[in-house]
Amino acid sequence: MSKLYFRVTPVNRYDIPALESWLEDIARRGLFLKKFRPLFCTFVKGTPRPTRYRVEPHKRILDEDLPQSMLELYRDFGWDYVDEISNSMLIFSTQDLAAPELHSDLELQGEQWNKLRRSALWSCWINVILTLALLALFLYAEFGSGSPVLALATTTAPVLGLFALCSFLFLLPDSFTDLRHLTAITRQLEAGIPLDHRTVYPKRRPQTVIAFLAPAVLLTLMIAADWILPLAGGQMEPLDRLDSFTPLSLASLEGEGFQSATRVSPEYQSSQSQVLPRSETRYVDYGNFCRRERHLLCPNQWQVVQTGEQDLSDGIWVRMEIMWYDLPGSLLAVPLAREQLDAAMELDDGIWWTSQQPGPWTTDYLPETGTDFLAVARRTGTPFQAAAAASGDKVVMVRYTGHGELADHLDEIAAMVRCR
Amino acid sequence: MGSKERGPLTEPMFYVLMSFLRRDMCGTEITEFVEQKTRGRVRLGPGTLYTLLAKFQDEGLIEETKVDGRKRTYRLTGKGWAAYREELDRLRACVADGEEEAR
Repeated sequence: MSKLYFRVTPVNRYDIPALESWLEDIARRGLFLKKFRPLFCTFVKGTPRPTRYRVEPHKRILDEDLPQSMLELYRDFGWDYVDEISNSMLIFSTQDLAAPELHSDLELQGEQWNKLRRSALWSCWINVILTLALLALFLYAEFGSGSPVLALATTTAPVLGLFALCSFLFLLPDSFTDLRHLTAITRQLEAGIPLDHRTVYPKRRPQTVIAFLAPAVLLTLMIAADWILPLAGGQMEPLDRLDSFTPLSLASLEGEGFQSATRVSPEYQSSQSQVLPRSETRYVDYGNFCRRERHLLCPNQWQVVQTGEQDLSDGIWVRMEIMWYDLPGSLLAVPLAREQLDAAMELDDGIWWTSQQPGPWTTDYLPETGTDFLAVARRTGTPFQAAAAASGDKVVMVRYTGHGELADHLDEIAAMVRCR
Repeated sequence: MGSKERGPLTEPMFYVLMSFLRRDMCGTEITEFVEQKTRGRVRLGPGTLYTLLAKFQDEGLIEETKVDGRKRTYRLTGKGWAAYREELDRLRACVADGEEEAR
């Protein structure tokens, strides 16, 4: 098998005069096209000889065979089939100086290129629709939940955004360039001017490499974000598995007499107790657990839930939920803390139980605590409280219902985001 | 005038139809006929010839009669003959008009 040589394709596949000129120049240096690819072509070495290359439009649908009758007819005239370009064009070459040019009827040749131009026009429209769909998908992922900063940190929204951006920067301009080249060819032939086979062409086209690599990288990120990272966490675990920070304790908020509620699924308990004594069973307490999740822009996210025994005399459900985020930088930290505090203040309207007519939320911002952001909010006439803090790249949000006051535990709240 | 869908035939189209008047022909024979007939003025490239043969087959003006290895032979159909006559009449009228004005 002959040794293969690779060269980066410096021209657009539809810039026919440039493509033919480049292939002819390479052939003069003794490299003959073996396989055409938009990014790089493969060549085999041979004796340097003047070689004519011609590109012919020929749209092929999926696994349709190459048109053998066409290739045979061309061969009869001295033109050998070399390769195909993107199922839409065929490349022929000849070293026979007497071989006639492929076309002598410009009107007919123009009709053939015009078919390809119409197909490129459709591709343009499809790419416009695809780009708009990607943009809509990104906007929905980013803003649909009402927490854009959280969506940016913990969903695939940023990857979708990059996909949309990539599409705007590369896919659409590439489509328009293809269409521009094909329109120029069609118009030239319609005007009765034969196609040029010799022109100047660029030495390289770096944007093509980026345009090919960017979607591959983004697809990898998408797969990592959607299918690989979720496997690295997500299950409920006992509180002692939490190793990234020391959480604010429900016992310290509730004070003396606090009793933690153990809530274990009865089925789980009975199935486990048949095998091991209760004291040795590693069970999951769904009233007191922690859960770690990993995301692209938030490699470490913890949810910590602590629950106390319900005191039926005052009807208050003692419960605290902590959401803790470790971001890759500090840029999103304060916006995320603010957003999470706002979200926490809206939550009880929809899903939290209340025994009396709730009053308004009052929020105290506490800039003097040595953090970038710390605020505590309380709803008048209810046991609902929330706090959020940010320091450097760490963010914490606490939602609490109980008898204590979050405002009395600012140091512990701040300590959760000051840890390194 | 050519048919409404096709319009007037181009010169290569006209000569390719003409090549089938006396006998069935394959691709290279058509090219030789056209080149001889026009004394080298019209040379058919394989691209033009292939496109024309495919187009004429689609329109039912010619049909394939024999495939012998790589050699494919075609003949003119009744519709093709009518199209040729129509174009011939159009060209005659053009020439007549031109000569009348030149007198």
